[in-house]
Amino acid sequence: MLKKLLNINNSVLWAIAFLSILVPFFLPNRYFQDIAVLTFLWAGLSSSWNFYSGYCGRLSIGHAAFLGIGAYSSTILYVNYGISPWIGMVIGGVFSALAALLIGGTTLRLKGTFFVLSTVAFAEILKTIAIVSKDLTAGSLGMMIPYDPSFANMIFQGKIPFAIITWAYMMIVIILCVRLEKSKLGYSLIAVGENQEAAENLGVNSTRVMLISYVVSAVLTSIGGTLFAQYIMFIEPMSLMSVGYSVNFILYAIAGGMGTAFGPMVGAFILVPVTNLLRGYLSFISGLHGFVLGMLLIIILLFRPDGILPQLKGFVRKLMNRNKNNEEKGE
Amino acid sequence: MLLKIDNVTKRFGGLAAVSEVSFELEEGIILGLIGPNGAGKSTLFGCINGTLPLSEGTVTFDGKVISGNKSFQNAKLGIARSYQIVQPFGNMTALQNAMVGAFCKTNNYKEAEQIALRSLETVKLIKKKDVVAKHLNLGERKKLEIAKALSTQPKLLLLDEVMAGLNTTEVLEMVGIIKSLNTAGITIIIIEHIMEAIMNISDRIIVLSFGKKIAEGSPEEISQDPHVIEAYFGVEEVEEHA
Repeated sequence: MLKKLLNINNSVLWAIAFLSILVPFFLPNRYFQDIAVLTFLWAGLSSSWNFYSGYCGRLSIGHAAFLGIGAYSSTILYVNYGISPWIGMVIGGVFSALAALLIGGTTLRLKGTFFVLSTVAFAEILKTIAIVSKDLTAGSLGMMIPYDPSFANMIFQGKIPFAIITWAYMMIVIILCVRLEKSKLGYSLIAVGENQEAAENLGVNSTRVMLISYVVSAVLTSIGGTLFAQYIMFIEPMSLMSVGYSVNFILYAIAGGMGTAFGPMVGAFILVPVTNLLRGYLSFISGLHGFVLGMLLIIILLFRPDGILPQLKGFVRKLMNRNKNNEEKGE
Repeated sequence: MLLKIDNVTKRFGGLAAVSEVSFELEEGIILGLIGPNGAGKSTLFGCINGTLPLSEGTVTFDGKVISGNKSFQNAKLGIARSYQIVQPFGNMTALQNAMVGAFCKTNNYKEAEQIALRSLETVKLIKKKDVVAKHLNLGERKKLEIAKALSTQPKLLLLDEVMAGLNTTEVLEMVGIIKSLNTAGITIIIIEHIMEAIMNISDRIIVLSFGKKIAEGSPEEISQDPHVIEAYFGVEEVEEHA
């Protein structure tokens, strides 16, 4: 009985994820559709971060690096060599995988805060490289993608095609997370996060497990990076690879519930629209939207430290238990 | 011989926690490992399963030299260890805890679930399978510790004070569980301070003191060995009157 209802609880989340694609079609104008696209994109990006850091409990505060690799790979190839961003997306993924292998191979064995710090350093190094290599990246001037709509160019008229692409991206990442939760890799990863020595005693090769999921996480993030560049059509290192962007990955995941497949989606679905709408409607005092958002986050984390989703699940479980008890009393 | 410990030494800085210990272990028996606090028993476990790198000596398991292996490699070969201070994965359920161990020998989710359920059944924790590990009491956590190790389907099981802190009823239950594991064909080395229990279940006993092996033999022999009595109770001073 209880199990059945908990499954229903999960199918509610599946339903929200699937039906969310309908939302952009009913939105009145491009402003709101733009927010929908960004929401899907960040839900996907935050879920990609979740694939390693969420389940393993080790925060990477440098995921903007992979966002940057994805964005720059496809943009450089498209703008300078005319190669389709779809192919650039794959090549960017390969670059990100290699970067993750290099960085993960050396830093994943570092404990606690040292890993966190090394991820920040990694993103800063890449940012500097992007600024300095002016011939390739145009440095801090940034790169513009010329508007030439076609499917091969991954440039579209209107927002709807991009809403569909970013939604599909989000769904793929979430499905991968759901599968991870039911796999050897997922169990091993969570165990390593809980207690590395105990996990190794049970036959878990912790370095390998962490490296695999870190690489997958990086590749997924990189794909999001290409989508990001093609959507905004302008990239520049200072904002793209900033700590601020890196924090967004974590923020949505923590607010929604890190280490749960749907947590980052829930976090992004709430926070991205709220952030953008506040920016739009509270513009009469500059900085006010940031203040309100900050207060909102403090309230969420103060009262719901596990994130919104685990709390909701707990609430539903309690409700079910009460019903179950009542049923039993009735019998 | 299932396990051969040859001249194993483990130093921490200048201190030899285990020094020149050698013994052999035939398949199917229960070996008791006793000694005063700080004798190096848990350190020896760490040396066997690969948690601690050896300073000197070799460990041979099933005909293969395994000293130098990491603990996860030894787990795959068939050595499992439970900890004196329980190490549950706190936010996972008892079943999920055991499944982490079960994935040692299989990649299949359903299969791992079956193996884990059997382990929980063996240690009599099946009723608590869906309880999150941090909500289990000490006795249950000790059982979970064994279930996790058992799920890796070991040939050799190293049990480190699985009875410490349990009440008399729980100790009796645990003795039963350990005997049943042995009957099922698992070779066991057990560290324990509860003498009654260890004398009762061990086929053979090894005594460590200050990192050295000071005695080895059947429980009866050990209980009368002067070196052992000396290690536990100290030397009787002979006063000389001139």
